[in-house]
Amino acid sequence: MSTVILQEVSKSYELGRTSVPALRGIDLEIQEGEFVTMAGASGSGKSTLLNLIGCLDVPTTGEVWIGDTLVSDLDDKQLNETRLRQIGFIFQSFNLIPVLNVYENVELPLLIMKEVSKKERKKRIDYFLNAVGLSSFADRKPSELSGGQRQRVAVARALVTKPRIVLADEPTANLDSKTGIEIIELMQQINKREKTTFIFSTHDPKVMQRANRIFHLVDGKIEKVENIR
Amino acid sequence: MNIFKLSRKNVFESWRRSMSLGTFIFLATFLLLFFTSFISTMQNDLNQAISNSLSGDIQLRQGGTTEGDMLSLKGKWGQMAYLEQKTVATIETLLNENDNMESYTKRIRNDAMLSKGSTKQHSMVIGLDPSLEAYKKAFILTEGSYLNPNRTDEVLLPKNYADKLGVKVGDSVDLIAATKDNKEVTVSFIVAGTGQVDRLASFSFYPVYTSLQGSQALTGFRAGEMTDIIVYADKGKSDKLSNELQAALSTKGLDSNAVKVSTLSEMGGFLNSIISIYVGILYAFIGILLVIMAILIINLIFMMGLERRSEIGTLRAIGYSRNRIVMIFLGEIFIITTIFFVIGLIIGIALILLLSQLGIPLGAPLDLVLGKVFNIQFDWSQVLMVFMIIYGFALVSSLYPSIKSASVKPAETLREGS
Ligand SMILES: Nc1ncnc2c1ncn2[C@@H]1O[C@H](COP(=O)(O)OP(=O)(O)OP(=O)(O)O)[C@@H](O)[C@H]1O
Ligand SMILES: [Mg+2]
Repeated sequence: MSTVILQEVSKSYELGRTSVPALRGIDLEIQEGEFVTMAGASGSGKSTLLNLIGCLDVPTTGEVWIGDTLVSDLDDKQLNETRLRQIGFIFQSFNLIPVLNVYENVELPLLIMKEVSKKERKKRIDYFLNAVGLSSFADRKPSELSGGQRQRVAVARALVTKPRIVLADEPTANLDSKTGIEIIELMQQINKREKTTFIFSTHDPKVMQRANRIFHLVDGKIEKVENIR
Repeated sequence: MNIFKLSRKNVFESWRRSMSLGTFIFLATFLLLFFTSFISTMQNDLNQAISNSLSGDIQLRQGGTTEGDMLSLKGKWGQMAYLEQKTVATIETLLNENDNMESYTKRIRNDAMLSKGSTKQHSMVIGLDPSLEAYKKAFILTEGSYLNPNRTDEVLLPKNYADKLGVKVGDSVDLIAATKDNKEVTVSFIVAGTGQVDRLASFSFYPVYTSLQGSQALTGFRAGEMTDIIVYADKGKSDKLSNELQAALSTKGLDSNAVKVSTLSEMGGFLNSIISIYVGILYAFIGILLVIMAILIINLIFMMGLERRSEIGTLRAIGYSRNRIVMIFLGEIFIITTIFFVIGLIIGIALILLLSQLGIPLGAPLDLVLGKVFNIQFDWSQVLMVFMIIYGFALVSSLYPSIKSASVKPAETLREGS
């Protein structure tokens, strides 16, 4: 079953009178439980593509489907809900809240999910902190963690809501290559265990090789799709 | 935790910045509480003083006289304005029919000279029915007793007059006055009691109380003629009652040229104007303070919004709605406001209570109205008002910058990186 479908998606940014095309006629389909990457040079449109899938932006033309919902049909409130419940985000610069400790950072998205009880909340946070190997760091502030550890917190935060899709825009770009690979491996483990769909972007050839499928982006177009396994 | 934990953490992480806003909230709370207590005490004192001087809520008197004439006795001899017997009877009928009235006192007021041997003292004599209780509020007995309803030749003297004249309870004292026909009369009275009189400092004289018959002897009034009638209205009904009376009198052929009905606040109007300039200055000062507070809040939130742009973008990306972010900002302002509001309240109340014991010395012209030493009173109802003003201002000034700051597009902030 497909979780993400893009049909003839284009996106241009208006800069004054000129229009900058970032994506040009993208067609793709990602199945549930896949572990895929958007690979490409700087400026090729990776972030733009992930933002469209993540309901953070709307395409200029074309359709973006998450499950059986057409994203352009959603109002603001529904977009918030979709980002909260269907999608988990991991960012290049971790984007943790500095005044909150590790536990509280992971707790953030759960706070606004009314159906998750306090008890369930604690259970989930403990589970995912354990999964990313940070159980003993729960009380630390982000500033007291290494880059790799911070990204693990972000992974846990993206997963606690049990989303269908996790989007990670260059999750390894601010990490050294060893730590970067560790983060990708962590994501891979979770992908296998939880059957969560992962879509990440990278320009690092070593990192992209970890994916099951690689979408090669060049100048806003999918030039090639590579199946690894 | 709920999302307000984030507000709390933000407040205490940037404690110094919170303090700078807090200081103003503290000042605004403190000064607002202090000034409103000051003003309300001032107004209460004034009303009390007027009420005690008149001993009632509404006065009915001959038309054509002004409030000032009746309040500040200038000691004009032989020019007496008074209500005819028939008029008084009409008024009494109307009063007895009215449901908003508690009781009334018919009075005869006139100027007279207290005289004992060669010592003389100018005074204002108020003749009334000694069986009525109301005047006892305005005259606090220190020696002797109140007027005996069965006697007509008794007077109550203010302590300082008694001392000046050298008379004691049971002594006799002469009163010299001009009648309505401008004839000088001297009548001898017995001092029934002496005491403290509550009066406005702007009154020329302290009142001396006697019976209606005693005053008739001094004024030459016939039975039933009165200078004025003082009415005690049911609580909060004095304006209504006043209007009803004036209207009812008109239907009986007595318009406001014949009988003038005034409420306490009308009587006090010209005195209130003395303090109103001070009240105005205080409110202007408070207003400026509140505006500064609002500017600081707006500035603070815009600064926080800029600093936390990427944070807000992240929260929006992971599913927080704009309103939730606004709530986080409002939560921060609420926490800062509450902490410093409480501190301002505690210190303000403490100071007011202290000053209510010590008293504040007043200079001219306030001392004329309020006395030489002013005892500020604390009143819990002020706290509610200060609370509403401070929190209202904080909320109103937070709203726009919070919404503005929360309206970032996550796609943009993510591009900017952090
Ligand atoms: N908000 C914007 N306004 C104008 N142009 C933009 C905007 N966002 C992206 N672009 C342009 O769109 C193109 C694709 O940008 P995008 O950020 O998607 O690339 P990317 O593959 O993520 O690059 P990088 O690896 O550097 O992050 C670029 O040419 C970029 O300059
Ligand atoms: Mg990018």
